[in-house]
Amino acid sequence: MKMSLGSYIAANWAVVIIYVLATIATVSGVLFGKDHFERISYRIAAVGLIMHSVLIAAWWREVGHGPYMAPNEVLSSDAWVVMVCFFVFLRFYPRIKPVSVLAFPAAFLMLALSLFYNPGIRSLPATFRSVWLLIHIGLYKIALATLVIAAALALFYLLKKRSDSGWLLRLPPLETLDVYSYRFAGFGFIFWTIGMLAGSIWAFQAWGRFWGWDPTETWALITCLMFGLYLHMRRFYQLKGVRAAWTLLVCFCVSLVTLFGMATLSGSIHAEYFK
Amino acid sequence: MSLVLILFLAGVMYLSTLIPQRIDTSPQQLEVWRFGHNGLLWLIDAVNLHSIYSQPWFAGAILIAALSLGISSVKQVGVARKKLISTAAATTDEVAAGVSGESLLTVARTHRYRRISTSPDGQLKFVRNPWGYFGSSLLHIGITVVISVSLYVALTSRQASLILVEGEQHNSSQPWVQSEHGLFARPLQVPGTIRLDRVRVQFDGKQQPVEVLSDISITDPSGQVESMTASINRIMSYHGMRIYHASQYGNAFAVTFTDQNGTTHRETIAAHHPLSASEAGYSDEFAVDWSVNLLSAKYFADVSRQSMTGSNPELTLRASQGGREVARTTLISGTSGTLGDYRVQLNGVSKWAKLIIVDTHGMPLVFTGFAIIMIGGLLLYLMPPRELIAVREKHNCYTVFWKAASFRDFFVEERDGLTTEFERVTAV
Repeated sequence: MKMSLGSYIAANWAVVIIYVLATIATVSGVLFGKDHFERISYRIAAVGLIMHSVLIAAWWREVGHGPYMAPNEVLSSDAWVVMVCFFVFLRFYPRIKPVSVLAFPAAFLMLALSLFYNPGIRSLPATFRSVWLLIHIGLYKIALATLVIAAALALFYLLKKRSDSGWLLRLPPLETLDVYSYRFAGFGFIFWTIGMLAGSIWAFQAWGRFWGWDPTETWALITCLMFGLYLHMRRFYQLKGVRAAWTLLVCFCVSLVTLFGMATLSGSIHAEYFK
Repeated sequence: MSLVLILFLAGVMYLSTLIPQRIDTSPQQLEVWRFGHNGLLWLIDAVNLHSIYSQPWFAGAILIAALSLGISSVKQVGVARKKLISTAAATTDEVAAGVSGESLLTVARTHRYRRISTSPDGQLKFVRNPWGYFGSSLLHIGITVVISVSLYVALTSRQASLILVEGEQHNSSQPWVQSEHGLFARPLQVPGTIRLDRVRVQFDGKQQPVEVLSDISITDPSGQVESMTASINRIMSYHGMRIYHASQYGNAFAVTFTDQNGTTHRETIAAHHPLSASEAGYSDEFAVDWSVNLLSAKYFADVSRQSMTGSNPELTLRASQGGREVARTTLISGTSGTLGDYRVQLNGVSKWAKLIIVDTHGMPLVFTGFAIIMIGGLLLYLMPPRELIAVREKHNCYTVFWKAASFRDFFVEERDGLTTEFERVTAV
């Protein structure tokens, strides 16, 4: 069954609205300490996620390639991965529950932003038909999602440290926020690094070079080094607390510059298909 | 030391994104940038900041980083071994007391804690994910291997590319389109002649190219011919060299230009393959020695603009001067038109493809390094070890302590689960 462009866009806006409703419910739940609001928000978000998954699959079938060739595809799949990763990690680490306050709005903002780009059909060059490309892109998306969670926890740490009252009292203790943000930064670092290595293998397979100092490659390596520095300082130099949270937020901003800034500004091969 | 090196390398890389590098900037763009940054040129030229990654000082910094990481890796293997066998109960949480040996073994096994050691005084150590102790060491060893071997590859590898039209051949005395080689390698030369016999493009149902295949023949100096088919993402091998099919390919148009005096000039104009039937593929702008104008071309895969596989492509030629278009004409095969002062005829269409030839050694080691990094990173962050240390008390009973090697707060539920389980078995 073929889907018209109009109905695809309308259905995506419906998902944005569902994610907004989930955000309102989860923020109310965390702010006013109403557990049932949070539970309702997860159900709403799950409905949105199912619809979102169907739309991504339908678009994939329509255009004949994965969601990585055009800005609207990239942002929509980023939003989807953030939601999926949040729910998967929540299953294993229930204490990250309040992260929904930032993960849900991040998802609806990325999805809404994706709809402002022209969702035209881009063809997939033959070079891009490699399993290493899928691994490369998939791991970067998971890295982004885990770094969103790590940054949210670091932000919560800073807010709670400044004034531990009101809704902030309902967040996990400072030590927990600190160690959770550390570990999620570790997850992000390792997914980022493996994603970078997979890209390197793909480049060698496609062009005979595994590293070319392309601007996006260079920024990806800078981001990797920054997170390496953060993790190194936490492990060997007892970096923790406020300074660790600020360092992590700086690293997170650098990762955003690499993923989104370089893709729209630089003349790299990574940017060519994002424009 | 390690922090300084990481900061230095990150800083240098950041600098390379501010100052255009010759490796990915055209000479014209570089000149424009230099014109706008006159005050900095003395420093940039003194330290060769337009070619940061090929400077000996950069290679030296990478080498020092590899050495530092290597030393650190050796130390970390020792630390990991020590941690694995240590039975020190300091900084641990007591989870149970008065536990029998049998109950201890049952609970440890149920929670996937493996018995690692028994000290002379009867103290037992159980660890969940014991290999996790070696995650950091493996991560560092992997990075050391990758950096060291990459440096070797950069110094010894050589690479060249060529563009051929169907029927055209390239011999070892002709220049490459592009060629680069490491400090310790000579420029690449292929023994013999490479000929492009045929280019085939396969499309899917949506008229998107799924495969580009180029049949090539290589004739060695003794006259022996080896035929092979190169395609994108499928690498061919010849005398230890790797032959890649680049993503660049398209149509090559044989065009005759005749001036008002009747003098003819024959040109083969190669343009990139269009992305879809309704879009054009473009050539680069190029100069010819018989005209003051620059020429460029674009083409649609088929004159109908509805098919990627049609046999009648539509070519548009453009002449420009000082960035301004001065003439344009559109042709299909066998037709002629006028481009400024020239009568232009399209004589035929064939295909062209770009091939990349690489002679590099050490890549399997680089990929082995990648695998070690992946294993180390996954062990370090996904499987941190947790310990149960059982100290023998009177009547062959044990007091049990619990400890997480890292991220303690992540596993407090596991610790509490163990406490509950020990309480249950002790009560029974």
